[in-house]
Amino acid sequence: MNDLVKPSDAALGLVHSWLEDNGVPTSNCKHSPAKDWIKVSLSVNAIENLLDTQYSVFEHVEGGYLVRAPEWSLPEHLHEHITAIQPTTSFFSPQKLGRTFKEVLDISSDTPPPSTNDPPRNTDPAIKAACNASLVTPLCLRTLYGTLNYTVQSADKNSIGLNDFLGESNNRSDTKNFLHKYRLDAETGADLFKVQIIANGNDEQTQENATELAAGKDMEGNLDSETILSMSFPTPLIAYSTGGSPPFTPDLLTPTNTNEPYLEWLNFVLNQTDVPHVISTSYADDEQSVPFSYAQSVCSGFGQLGARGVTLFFGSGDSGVGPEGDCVSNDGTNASTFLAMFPTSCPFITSVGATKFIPEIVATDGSNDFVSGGGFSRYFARPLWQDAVVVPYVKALGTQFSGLYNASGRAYPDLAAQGYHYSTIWNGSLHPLDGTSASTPTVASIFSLVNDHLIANNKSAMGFLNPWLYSVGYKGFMDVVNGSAIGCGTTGFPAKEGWDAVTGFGTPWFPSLKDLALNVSATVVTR
Amino acid sequence: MLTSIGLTAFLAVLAAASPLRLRSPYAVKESHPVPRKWSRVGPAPADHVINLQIGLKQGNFDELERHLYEGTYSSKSGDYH
Repeated sequence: MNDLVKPSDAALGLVHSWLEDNGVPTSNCKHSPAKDWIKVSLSVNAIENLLDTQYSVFEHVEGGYLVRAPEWSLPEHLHEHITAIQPTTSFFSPQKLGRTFKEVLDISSDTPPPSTNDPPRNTDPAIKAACNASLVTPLCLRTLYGTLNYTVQSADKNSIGLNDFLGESNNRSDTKNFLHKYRLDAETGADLFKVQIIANGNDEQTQENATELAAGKDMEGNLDSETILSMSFPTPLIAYSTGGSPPFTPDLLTPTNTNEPYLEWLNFVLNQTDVPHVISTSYADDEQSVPFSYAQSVCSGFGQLGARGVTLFFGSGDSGVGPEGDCVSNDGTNASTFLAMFPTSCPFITSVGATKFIPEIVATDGSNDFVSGGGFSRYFARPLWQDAVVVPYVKALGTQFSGLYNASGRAYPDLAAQGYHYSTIWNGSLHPLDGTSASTPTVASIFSLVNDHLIANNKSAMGFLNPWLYSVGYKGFMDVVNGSAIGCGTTGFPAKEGWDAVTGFGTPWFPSLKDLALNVSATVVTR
Repeated sequence: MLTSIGLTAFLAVLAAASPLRLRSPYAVKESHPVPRKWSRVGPAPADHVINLQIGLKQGNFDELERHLYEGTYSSKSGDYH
């Protein structure tokens, strides 16, 4: 793998010479294993000289600061050798805004619609007994998706990872309370999971202070650790906590951390020999908030992980095709557009949408403006393996939404799972949460169990999932056909029979998926 | 032809000898509009420290990417490894 991504020696030499000419000795540079990334800590002043640029402090309308440079330069002879330098032009660093989950404000206001024409799974009395749409529990998810009776066999050879960014961490005490309440046999999981700190990430386990409570710190983190442990225990869990982009206080002039969190995490993980087979990430931002070079670099890093046998799951976003009022292009033309989300738009990861109720429909929640995200990348072309289902979907749309999306782009999500009114313990009490942030760890856990089954049968883990998903794996999903990715003042992409740009192939049925993954004949799920 | 031989020789010297530095004028490499929800509030403090990440052109990623795009690279497409 490193051989494929290694830059030429000549290119590396030219870049080192340029850095040395600018007072940056090669000994101060840290290199990725393939030497395709150089990391160096420098002052704003030094970088401004190096890149003939100017850094500024930028403030987000909803709060939060970043230090960025929207334009930068290089000596002409280096243009062909350097593809990206960050943090410069990338505004990917959501504070509160990008956390793709929403706290439910009122759990009594929603009632499931009357169900008609129930598919077999949805009339299963065990599921009806286990599931209550106003509060989704691990028992419901494990019954609904068929993992309840599966026994983990390969815990010594398998693991699952989750990502914390933006100062989030996973509170062990809350996680333990959750497991005690919902999955007693997994309670020790709260003590056992590992935390890997990257670039001054956070692993605070003490009581949150008033500011942190007001900000909902660790809600996202707890949702992830509680969901994953309750679904995949005793599979070992590792939480990566990567620093970067905490509140920057411009008037204090303190050297706070304005790192670019995804690149920090990627370069750390690519440098590890032992990486979990499945990693769940619940963070996203508008694709157009990052330059193409950045998106491509990060996405290519994900591709490297996929090729190394790691399956990456990302939430598809929580605002349908885009939040109303924000659906405008960022290129100066102010054209109306649906807003694709990144990293979920990267074709080398598996994108997860959200459903609610039984039978499952597209998840929406009027109380907090949550709508499961779906759409088409403006940056990444549609991969070959999507053609068979996405081309007919686009064709069936006809001229609807024409010009608002890139019909030849990578379409997402690839699949979906429940993402509505999840029971979560935070700060010692129960908080039902919505979001693709809930769906993502659920799907990640289910595929971690598929890997467990494969490893127990002396097979390797799934790795890059999508080509298999679109050629074989889709048969193990339950189609979702009602609802749409409402947003940008439109109804958004509709759920339809077969693949669609709001629930992908639908929701997983583990008993079929584990058989399909082993290449044995499986009972195909039908509606 | 002469030019190309000359260039080859020049590049060979460049690769072998460290004191020779290639220099060229600066030109804008990348410009990206500031997203609508962000606005500039002032200059960055000069001594603020940033972890700068410099991405070099990957020698042969195109090949891996082609396999990923075409789906010929997948652990479940036949070859367990």
